[in-house]
Amino acid sequence: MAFGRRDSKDGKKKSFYKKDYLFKRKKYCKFCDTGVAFIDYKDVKLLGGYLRERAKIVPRRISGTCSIHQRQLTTAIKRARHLALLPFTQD
Amino acid sequence: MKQYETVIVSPPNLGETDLEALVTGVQTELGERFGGTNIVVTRWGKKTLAYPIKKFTEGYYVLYEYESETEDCVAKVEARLRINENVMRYMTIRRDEERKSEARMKERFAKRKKHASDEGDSEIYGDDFEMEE
Repeated sequence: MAFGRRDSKDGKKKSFYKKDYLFKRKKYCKFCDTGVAFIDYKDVKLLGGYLRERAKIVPRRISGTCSIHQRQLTTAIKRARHLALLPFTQD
Repeated sequence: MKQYETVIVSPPNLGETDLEALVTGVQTELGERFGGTNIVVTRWGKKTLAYPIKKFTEGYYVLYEYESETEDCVAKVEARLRINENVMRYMTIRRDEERKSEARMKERFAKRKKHASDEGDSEIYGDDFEMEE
């Protein structure tokens, strides 16, 4: 897979050179990857995965979700919150 | 024709007859009084609420899917739900708009897939490379 950490060219195990150390795995939109065309507010299990500990919505810069899907996700979560399917806050 | 979805949440302490009256009552109101068609009722049953509403920790969820020519229907039904004591929460959404955007997204995915297969990017980047979005 392209997302995993790559070994160096000569096949040696990962080194702690600066270049390697700073390598970060590329984020990608999981919804685009699996081809989700519409995010439903009824799918509480899915939406719950995009809430933080305090039940705040995980920002795009963390989850890597694309803008279109993040917008869909946000409305879906907000709808689910109104129906008490998801919490507004959690302590 | 516009498609709608309404979810209502009722308290968990309703008797069976009361609950039945509520569910069918809303259905008949939707259908016969306010002109909704193709009504599909789905009962999700009792669920634990994410936060307490009116000191209840559980709620009985019912989903209505229906179609209507006018937006009048929704306004009237919501007005009825608002004054109904056995409805703790209700929410109505337009579903046909979302179906449209869903179709648009599907088109987009298909295009992207086609594009990726046309390009044949494996030749340029080597075998272990995959297109990332």
